[in-house]
Amino acid sequence: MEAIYRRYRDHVAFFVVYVQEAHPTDGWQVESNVAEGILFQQHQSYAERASVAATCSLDLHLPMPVLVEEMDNAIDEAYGAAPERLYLIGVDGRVAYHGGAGPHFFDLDEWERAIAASVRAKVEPA
Amino acid sequence: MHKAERDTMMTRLNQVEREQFRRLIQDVRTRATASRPGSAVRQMLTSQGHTLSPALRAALEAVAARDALGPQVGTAPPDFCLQRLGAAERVRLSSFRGQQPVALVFGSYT
Repeated sequence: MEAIYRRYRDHVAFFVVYVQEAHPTDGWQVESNVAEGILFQQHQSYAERASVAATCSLDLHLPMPVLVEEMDNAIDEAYGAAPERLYLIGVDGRVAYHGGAGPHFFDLDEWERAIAASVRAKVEPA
Repeated sequence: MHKAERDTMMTRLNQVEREQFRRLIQDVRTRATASRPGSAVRQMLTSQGHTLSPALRAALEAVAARDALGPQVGTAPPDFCLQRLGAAERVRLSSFRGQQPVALVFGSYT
């Protein structure tokens, strides 16, 4: 993902949108998180969500800016986002890529192809 | 289909069902198709669903339902104005219209 960001960041605005925890300790816990010490309860406040987002950004060295979803999860639900999902919004303001629901159908290659096509369309308008 | 409902379906799978789920999803992913993966799951359920346990069918239906959610290609997505981490600014999606494409990665640490 970082490679995609660095390749296209001059032409595309990239944002991580931090949403509700996929596998909180007080929800559907998974063994891999326990093994790696990634243990967070589901956020009880916006401040908590922002704090965990900041920890995530630092720990994973996320290069792209992070936006934090509000606690009503309205955007998360509108985009069918959680646990993870990729989108591309074209320069025309319309959805250019609607990624498969993560984690099972999360496809970085497909997303990058859409980004590349969008950049070509922007640079070489019809 | 909220995430919580999907999670409930997934956590009801026993170990054998989880392995079956993984194989069936992998099969869908490797199948070359122009349709959405959730549609491919529904097609698979139509042909094979009667051979699967109720819990496994429910989990696969939940995954298919979740995949169908969200703004479709060609439509105007829901606008938002969210706080950027570590900055004073809020970012409005619609402000990029006519300026540049916007790539969104929705996710969390866990």
